[in-house]
Amino acid sequence: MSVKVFLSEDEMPRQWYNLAADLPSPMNPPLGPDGKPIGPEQLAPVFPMNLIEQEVSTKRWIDIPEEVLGILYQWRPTPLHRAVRLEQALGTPARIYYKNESVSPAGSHKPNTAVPQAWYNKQFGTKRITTETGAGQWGSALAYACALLGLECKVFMVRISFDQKPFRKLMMQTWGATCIASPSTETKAGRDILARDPNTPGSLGIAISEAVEAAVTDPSGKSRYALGSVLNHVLLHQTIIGLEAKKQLQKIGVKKVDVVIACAGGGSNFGGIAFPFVKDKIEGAQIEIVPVEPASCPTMTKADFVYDHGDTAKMTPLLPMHSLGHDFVPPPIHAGGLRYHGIAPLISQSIVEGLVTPRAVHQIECYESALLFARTEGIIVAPETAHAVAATIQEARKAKAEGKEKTILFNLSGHGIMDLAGYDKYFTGQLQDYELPDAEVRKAMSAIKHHPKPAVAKTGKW
Amino acid sequence: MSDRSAAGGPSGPSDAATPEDGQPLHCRRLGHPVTFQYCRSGSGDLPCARILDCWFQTFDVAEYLRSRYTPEQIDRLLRPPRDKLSQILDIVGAVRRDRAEG
Repeated sequence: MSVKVFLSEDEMPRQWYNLAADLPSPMNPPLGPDGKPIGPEQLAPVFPMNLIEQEVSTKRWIDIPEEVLGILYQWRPTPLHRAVRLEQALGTPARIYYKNESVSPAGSHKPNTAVPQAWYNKQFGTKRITTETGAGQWGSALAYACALLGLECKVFMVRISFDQKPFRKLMMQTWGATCIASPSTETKAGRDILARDPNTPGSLGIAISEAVEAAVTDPSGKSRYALGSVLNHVLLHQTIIGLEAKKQLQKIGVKKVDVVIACAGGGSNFGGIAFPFVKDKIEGAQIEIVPVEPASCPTMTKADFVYDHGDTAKMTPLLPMHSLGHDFVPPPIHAGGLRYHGIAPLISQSIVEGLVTPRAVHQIECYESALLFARTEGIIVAPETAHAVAATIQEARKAKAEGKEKTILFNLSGHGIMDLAGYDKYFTGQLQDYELPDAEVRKAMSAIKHHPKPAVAKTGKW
Repeated sequence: MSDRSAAGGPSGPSDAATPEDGQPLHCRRLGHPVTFQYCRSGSGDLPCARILDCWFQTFDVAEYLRSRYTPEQIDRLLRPPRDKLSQILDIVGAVRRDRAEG
């Protein structure tokens, strides 16, 4: 039996898919400091205009430039695998497929957007791109893309990550990027933080401030900022994953996918594989589409979608979000939200519409699933990807219990070869699980039951 | 919380060591394990905004916050952050103000 499905370079999709064109209800817009919807001109100091146009576009299909395709050919199309050994180990009638995005030079799906972002910046006249990174997945992907396009790349890496992840730092340097521990003395934001606390381990918030400042204060005007998730244009670029998967499944005669699964942090890898299938669902297909989050942050799965306040003085416009509540409820309930979760607005809206069904998985189950996957399929997945593996195994077991030959597709968003510290903590018993009691959730929800809800955000079809 | 906020503020300095300081957790934002000490150090006068989201399953982090921070600080901490584009524009605005004053 063939366990991999390839597409030739000629068969690779030539267009990205923009879900914003098909979402049945309008997205609630982000608002600027003046309370009005953000306009393209406000973003011009930060992003090149060609990417801003993509960010606000409602065109359904956007052509992938030939030069971008030429670079993506270095590892794309990525193989679609049939997880035969995993199926056998589980004794399931389900057919499990996965897109193997770990084959990219950076080891994850991130270059799918790093490459086009670098290309569009170069077309615009940008000479240098700045960004921030934690563990380095995004920073290394951007460094790789900039190397291929002859752009300078400056990555502000959170200090604690800079110290913990020397190999990711070295990857960036190998690709010619300058990787700086943040906070640094290169920006006012960094200097101010260091003046207060010279030994600070840093944070993503500081690193973002440094990266944006470095871009907008470049006197040449030829620096721009890039980020690896959340924004519409990033998810647009990632849809190459799902579009390829559809072609590959068609190639082997798979007419219907029952479940599509991916882990969801900022949402780029989930959006990438899922959005082409969300389109099918909007058009009437019966598919379960599952973004998976850690159970330690169950904001998608246990939160209601309400308007919540943007500041204590209640002066800023109410922000539509998934939230467990603005009020601080007695432990262990908290007031997290999708804004905390930081998930892409397109995914948030898809959840509101019922087009996608979030699921939370505990970390122990994630690592157990990742081990089973490694011992059957061979690939050691990234800790985030393990959430998708865990949900896939849940679905496969459910199919076994039901005796159903379900077709399950998940996105293997990255390998975990550089992230084995998490596996070490699992092996040495340092990880814990705790289930948030439903009674506590109901108590938290009662705290927000009077919060106003968005009026027109949902069609009610799904 | 409103009842407790009426009862008063923190009982100890926010940067003092805690028994949980060495406990590890996978940081979803950074993408690697960190300890509670890192999460509570945060930036500025507040810990990481996800401290409750990430730690409430492990120990009574809510009580930890009540013992270290004022109700106003906790309210600021739990306040939903603005969306990404708005955050970026806030940074641009701050940079421009600094340069104008500069």
